[in-house]
Amino acid sequence: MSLLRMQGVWKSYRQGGAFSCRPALPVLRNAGLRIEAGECVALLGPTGSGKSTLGRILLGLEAPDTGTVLFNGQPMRGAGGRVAPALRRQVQAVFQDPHGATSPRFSAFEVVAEPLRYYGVTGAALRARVEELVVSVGLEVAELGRLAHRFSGGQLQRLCIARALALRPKLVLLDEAVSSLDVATQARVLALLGRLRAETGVAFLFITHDLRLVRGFAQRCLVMQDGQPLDVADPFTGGSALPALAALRDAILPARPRGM
Amino acid sequence: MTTLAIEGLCLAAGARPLVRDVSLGLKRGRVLGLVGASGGGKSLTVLAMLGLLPAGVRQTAGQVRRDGRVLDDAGRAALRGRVAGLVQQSPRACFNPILTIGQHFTETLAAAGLPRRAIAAHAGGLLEEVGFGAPAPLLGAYPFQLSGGMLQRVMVALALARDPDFLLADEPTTDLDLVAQAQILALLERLVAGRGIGILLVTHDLSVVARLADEVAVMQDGRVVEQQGARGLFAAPRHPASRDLLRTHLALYGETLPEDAG
Repeated sequence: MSLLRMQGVWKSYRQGGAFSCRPALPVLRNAGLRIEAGECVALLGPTGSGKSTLGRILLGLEAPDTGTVLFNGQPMRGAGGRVAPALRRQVQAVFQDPHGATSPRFSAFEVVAEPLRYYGVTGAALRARVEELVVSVGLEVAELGRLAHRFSGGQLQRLCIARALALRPKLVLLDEAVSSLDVATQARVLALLGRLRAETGVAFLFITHDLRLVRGFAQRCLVMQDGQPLDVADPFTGGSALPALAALRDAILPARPRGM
Repeated sequence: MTTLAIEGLCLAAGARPLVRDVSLGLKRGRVLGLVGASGGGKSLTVLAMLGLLPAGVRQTAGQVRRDGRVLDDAGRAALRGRVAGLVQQSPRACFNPILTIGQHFTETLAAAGLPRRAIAAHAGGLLEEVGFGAPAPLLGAYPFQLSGGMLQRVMVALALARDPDFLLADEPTTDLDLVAQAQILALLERLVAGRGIGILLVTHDLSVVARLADEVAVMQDGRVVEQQGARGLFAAPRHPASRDLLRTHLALYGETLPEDAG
C-alpha cells in the first residue's frame, strides 16, 4: 500500500466575484499521484501550472472538486471535510517564504515548540525535543531565545524544517522550500534534508520550478503538464521531452559565459 | 565616455564595519556583475551610490564619481532616475498597492517634467520596450493583478522612464521563476545592445552572471576579493571565496571545478 495515493483529482478556481459569469479556470485535470514511504519525489512545473494547488490538496488544506486522496489507505478528509487530527500530524509542510510562515513575535523556541504544544507536550519533555530538533537542523541551542525574525533567511528556513519534523511526520511537502535562498545556502539545506530523510525515514514531495535542484536529491521526478503530474524517467537528457519539461530545460541559464 | 564609479567606499553601522574599501566602475554598454553570498554588503553598496543608505548605516570613507567628477550628497541624489535607474528585488513590495500602474508612471514622469497629456503615450512606449505587446489595458491595472515577472518588467520600464545611462539592478530575478527570469535577462541584454545602457547586476547566482555580465566583482564580508572578466572568473577563479561560489554553482549542473577533479 502506498503512503499517499491521489486519484482522478479535478480542481478549478472560480474567476471574478461571487456573481461572475466567467468560466471557472481548471487547474488540475484528472491528476493522479503516488508516494511510497520514505521516498523523495520531485514535482516540477512553471508558475501557474497547479503544483502548489496539488500540494494544498495533499495537505488537506483544500478540497478537490472530484477525486480521492488516500493516506495509508484512509481518505484524507472525513465526511465533514475535516482532516482527522491523527492524520494531520503525519503530513507537514515547509513553504517558500520562511518570514511569512513564522510569527514575528515568536522566539526560535516558540516556533519549533508550537506544534508540539498543540499535541500536549510540555515542560522538560518539550524543551528536550525542541533542542534535539534544533541541533538536528544544524542550529545552536544557545540561539533558541532569539526572535525568529532576527535569523537570516537560511537559518529561519532551518527552523521551519525543524518545526515540520517535530511531530515525526510520514510525509513532508517542500513547496519551493529552498527557492528564496542563495545558491550556497540552497546546497546546504538540500544536503540537510537528504540527511534527515535518511535518519528519520520521512518521505518528501519536493515542489520546484528549478530543474537543477532535483539532481542528486529526488529519486523520482514528475512534471506538471496540462494539469496532470506525469512521470519522467530522465528529466535531464531524455530525448522526446514533454513540452512543459522542455520549457523548464530551456529556461535553465548557461553554466558558463558564452563561448567557453 | 560616460562612467559612474565608486572609490574606496567604507560603510559602517555604529562601530561595526559593513563594507570595506570597495571600488567599482561602470561604463556605458557594459555589464558589471557583483556577486557574493547574502549579507556580504552588495545591496548597501548599490544604495550608497545613490545616497539611499538606510538609517543607522553611515559612510565612513570613499566617494562617488561621475565622469571623473566627485559628487556630493546632492549630486548623488540627482543621479537617481536621471543618470542611474534602480531595479530592486521583490517587485511586489516595490509598488504602491493602491495606485494603478499608470499612476506610478504619472508620478515618475511628472517628476521628470513631462506634460500630463504626453504621459500616457510615453508610458505606453516604455511598456512596449520591456515586452508588453498591448500596454494600454496595463495602465489601468493594479499591481496585485500582475504576476511577479510582469511587475519586474514594469519596474524596469519605470527605471528607464528618465532615460538613464545606467541601471543598478539589485537581484532583479531572485524572486522569479526560471521562465520569468529568462525573460528579464533577455530584456536587460536588449537594453545594453539597443540603448547602450550600462548595468550593475547584483546577484548571488553565478548563472545570471554567466548569461549577461562582461566583468565580475566578487564580494565577501564587505570586501571585493576578486575582480576580473567573466570568462576569466569561470576559467580560473583566484580567490577562495570565488572558488567556493563557482564550486556550488557548477554542482547544480552536475559538474566539478576543473582543479578539484585534477
